[in-house]
Amino acid sequence: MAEEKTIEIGLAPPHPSKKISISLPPGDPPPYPMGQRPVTGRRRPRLDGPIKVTGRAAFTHDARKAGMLHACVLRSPHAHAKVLSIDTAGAEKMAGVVIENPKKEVVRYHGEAILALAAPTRAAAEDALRAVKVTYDVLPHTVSLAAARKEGAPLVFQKAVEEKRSAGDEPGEATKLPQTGNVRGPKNSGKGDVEKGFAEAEGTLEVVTTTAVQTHVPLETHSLFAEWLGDTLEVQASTQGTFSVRDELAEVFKLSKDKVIVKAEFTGGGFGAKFGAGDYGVFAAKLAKKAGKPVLMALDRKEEHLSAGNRPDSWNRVKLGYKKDGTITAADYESFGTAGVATGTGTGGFVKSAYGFPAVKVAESDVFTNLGPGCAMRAPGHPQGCFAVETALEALADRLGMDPLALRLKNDPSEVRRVEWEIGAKEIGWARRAGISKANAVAAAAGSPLRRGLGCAASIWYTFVAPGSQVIVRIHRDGSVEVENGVQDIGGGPRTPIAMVVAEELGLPVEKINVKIGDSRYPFGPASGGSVTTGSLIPAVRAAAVHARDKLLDVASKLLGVPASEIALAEGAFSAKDKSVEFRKVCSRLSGETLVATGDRAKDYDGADTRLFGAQFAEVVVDVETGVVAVKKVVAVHDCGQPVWKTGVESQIRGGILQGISYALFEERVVDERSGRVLNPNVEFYKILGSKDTPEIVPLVVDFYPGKNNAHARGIGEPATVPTAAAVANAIAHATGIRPTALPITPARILDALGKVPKREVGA
Amino acid sequence: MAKSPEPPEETRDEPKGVTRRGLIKGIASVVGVASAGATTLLVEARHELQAASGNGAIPVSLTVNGAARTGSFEARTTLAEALRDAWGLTGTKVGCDRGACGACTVLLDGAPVNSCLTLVHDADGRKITTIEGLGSPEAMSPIQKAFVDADALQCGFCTPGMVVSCSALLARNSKPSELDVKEAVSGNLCRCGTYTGVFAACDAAAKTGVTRG
Repeated sequence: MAEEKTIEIGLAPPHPSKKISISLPPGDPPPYPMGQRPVTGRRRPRLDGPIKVTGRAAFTHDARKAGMLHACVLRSPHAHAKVLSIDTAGAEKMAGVVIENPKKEVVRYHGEAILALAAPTRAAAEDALRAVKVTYDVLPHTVSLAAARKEGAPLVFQKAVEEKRSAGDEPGEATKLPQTGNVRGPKNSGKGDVEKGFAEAEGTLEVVTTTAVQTHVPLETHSLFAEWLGDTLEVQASTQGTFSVRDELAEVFKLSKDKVIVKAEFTGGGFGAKFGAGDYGVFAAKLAKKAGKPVLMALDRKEEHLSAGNRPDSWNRVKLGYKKDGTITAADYESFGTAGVATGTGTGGFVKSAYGFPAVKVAESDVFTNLGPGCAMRAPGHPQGCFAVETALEALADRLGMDPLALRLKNDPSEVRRVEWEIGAKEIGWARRAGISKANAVAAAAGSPLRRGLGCAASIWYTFVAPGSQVIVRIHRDGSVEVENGVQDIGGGPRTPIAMVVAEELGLPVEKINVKIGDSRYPFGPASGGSVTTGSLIPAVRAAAVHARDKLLDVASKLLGVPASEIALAEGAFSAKDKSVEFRKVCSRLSGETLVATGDRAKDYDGADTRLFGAQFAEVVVDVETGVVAVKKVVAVHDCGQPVWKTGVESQIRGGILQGISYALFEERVVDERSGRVLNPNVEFYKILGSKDTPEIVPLVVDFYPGKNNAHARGIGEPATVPTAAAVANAIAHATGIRPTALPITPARILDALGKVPKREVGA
Repeated sequence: MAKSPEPPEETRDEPKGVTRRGLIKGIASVVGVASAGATTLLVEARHELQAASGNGAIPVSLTVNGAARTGSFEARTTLAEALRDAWGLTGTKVGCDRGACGACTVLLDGAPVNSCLTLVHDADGRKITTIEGLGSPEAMSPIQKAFVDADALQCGFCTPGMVVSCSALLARNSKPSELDVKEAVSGNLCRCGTYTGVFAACDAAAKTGVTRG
């Protein structure tokens, strides 16, 4: 029976909160009351830190087993070609080489897989790869958004393409859309009466923005180690989804789920690109079967860039209808983007959800090109959409002579974000903005090249939950505690918050909790996508820990001779009034060798808005002679329910910001239109942010109790990266007076906008 | 443990003969980076090196983390491959295999080098310190402990290289400024975004006053 309960939700004091009535799911503990948590919510070192900093954490790249083979993939050098012949005779003659050749007939992008082979060493595999001879009939290609949209452009696909989805996408059904030439769409959506909104407007403003293709660049490339043990396939995968890899391999090899074991204890980054087994993973498992030996497939850095996913580029048009006081009455939004041979480029989520625009019309279209497939990447579509909308708002503030923050507050009904704007403005020193403008004018008059600027932007993301997450807590007679869930660690570090929650409920030191994750034989855990990990997992952890505690309390009650309700459990002891008994002693009296308690992720109940807000502020210095931008400071104020492990939340925010700065200033996949080849599939010429580009970062989290689950648990990975690029762009606009409308904002683009690039005479 | 701030004069000379870095540079300058794609060049470079030196494995002996290590390797074998594949020291990571990400950083006679750009034969007779040699989970070195305390890591894949670079910095400069740290790890890429933690960790480790990182 569901129990009715009154809970308090909202921001912690001094802000007003609200009491609501909920139906507590059977067996689920009531949510944390405001302000009463002894362990969770604090900072502490991550539990797996010592094995990671000493090189003992074994990633998939590190899988080594006697007799194993190393696999390589032969990939297309052409953007579009018919495969006429594949001659593997030379490779077959080499010692210990096994080949998996699916006899591909057409390749649609530079880097598309043709076949895979494995050999006793990586070098031998590369030798064998050189010995394979492929002949091609090269076909016309199209590799840019603009060219692919044109009538008569070479077609990437002859047939209609169905959308494929991954755990990194926003939940929802695949959509069926019209397809004309290479353009698939538009997908129309929106809210309110847009016609009426524009009729009520006193003015309109339109901007067009573009963003470049960004690649994920996880430091560990996509990789999978496969071994067949009888009829069971055991793999280690560098993945964001232990169970999504298991399910995919079970489907491909027609195995039941118990015959596929996936281990993913340590994953060297993912950022949205590592959900499935991948064609490389399937190759590894097939080669392992053929050879009867374990096979490691680890993509090299070039393959990673070409074939393993990217954030699509975008072309976005925003038209705002506004009143002279800054109120937005309507927004008309259109986007085109290319995910190469894949779908899912829409950027309209931000304009619909971030602010209180009363009427919004969105049309999103995918444009196919002969390039590697895009996929989910940290807040899909949102950094792009945020850049477009926040650029338009900044332009509107300029036009109306309004303070940019005042304009945002005018259109922001979110109580949580209004608090975030206020905290962030204070921390960055927004009040200095007018003074900085004056100082820039003085600097310009004096011939100094340096200009300072402040910018801000809003974040938006959503609370998704992976249903079915379950946790087991085992307590042994010697007092040791194990917690099991199959979730992977891609850097978010779930071991630590899991241990903190269990430690809090059992009154034990965090280090005493042995957290076991990254194995599909443990109970189901969420894939790390959509910022679902914490919110899906932590309530189940807490439920399991509370159930274990309740069972121990029954034992303690008998030992102490007092009712369980009068016993407190803290600091390794059960106490009631003047009596006390050690945790270990209670465990030694367990009826079985092991106490096993499970906890399920109950369905969400009532609570606050499911959106995750956030406000970021950036301070930059721009050298107007060289066009170089130095980001000096970023202040990020976010809400993510009640942080379980504050250190991890802050690290996630820092990471989101650094990726956002990198996106704003540096990252761009460059493709040669004539050959259709990617020119910078590496980390020398595809520039990502490094140590010298790192500014001061101030991550701040508001004290927020959203309800919905027993731990007020919510994620942070994605919202942290949504607004950074826009905030940096707006700071550059403040510093220089130019309005960046294309990412990345390179020195060349800044100098061009400043009119400092000499124009070449046409025909000269 | 490598304590000398600078490697002895003779070991700093570029190794004689064909080096992998030299080969890559040479080929890259002739062919042009864009035309064939970077990794193809690397595979070609390895192949050329192998073809020039004959096929047999050649013995090598060196000191790794204080212990003598021997093995027979083809001329093209990198130090990273030898450490990871032959000697099971997988703490050293390979992120790009061409010296651009720093995940494979080890100490060669005390100086940080990219082990993916160092041929194992060029390390013959020399002293290597890998991440495993700096400390263990039970007995972390000061900089390793400082990394944990400052949460200067997330996924942990770049971390070994980052730690080795910082360790080398602290060995040659016991009181580094933040700029010194930024310079020291400028060849170490981190995608999770842990740099601010790395700066804090170096600062904290320096303050402990232990010269060895």
